[in-house]
Amino acid sequence: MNSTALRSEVSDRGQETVLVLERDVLTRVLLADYLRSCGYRVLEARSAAEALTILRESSKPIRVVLSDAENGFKLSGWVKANRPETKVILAANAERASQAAADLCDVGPHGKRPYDPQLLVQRIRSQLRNGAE
Amino acid sequence: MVPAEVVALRQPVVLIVEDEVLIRLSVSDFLRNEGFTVIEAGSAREALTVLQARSDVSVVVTDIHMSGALEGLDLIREIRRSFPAVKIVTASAYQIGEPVEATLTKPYSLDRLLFVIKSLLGI
Repeated sequence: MNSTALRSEVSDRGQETVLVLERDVLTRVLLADYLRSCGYRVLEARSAAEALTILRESSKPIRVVLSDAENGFKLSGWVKANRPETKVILAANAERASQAAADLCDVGPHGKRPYDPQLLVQRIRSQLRNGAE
Repeated sequence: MVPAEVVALRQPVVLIVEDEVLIRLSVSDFLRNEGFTVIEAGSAREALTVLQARSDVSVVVTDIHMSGALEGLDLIREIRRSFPAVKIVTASAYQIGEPVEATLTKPYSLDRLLFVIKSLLGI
């Protein structure tokens, strides 16, 4: 999904909460930091079960769920049925997730990217290497 | 090399280790609003992964009894062994015998947590 397509989904400024659902902690932290640095309130979940708890309990509307594909498939049916106003973006890998985060930043509170998404991918790869050592 | 004055301006980094997602979320939100950079880990294993990948964590606030192969006590011992500069605050309903910088008994107030972290960081 490109930023133009996202613009209609994320237009309620001031209420922009993004839920990042990502199993890998280092990738999740970097994606969440990136989105926070461009102005979103970001909630983090490490599993579909955690994301479901957050979606059920959140007092503020969640505009977008940015999820890894495996967890997102489990969750998207529930979201479609119970939170139709929430957009689910499935990202198959770090590159896709970074591009989706960059697109969200383009249409988000500040309307600008904190840094190039390629740099985000590099940071994710670097941290994954460090975490694996 | 990052200039010292820039380092001094960076937000302190706090790692929250808690397997109850709503507790983790509310504590993290609160500390972010107070100006801290917060990293969230849902298990002791995730916390160790973060500590191995990043060198900027100042304080770890950890639950003790968590699901997963590693518990909070294992995490505390590993931090003491491998990351001795990191300060540890435990948040648990139980008393523990491990040497840590501060203990909070659940349920604790967020203001109390903030006071403890600021005191440990001297801010």
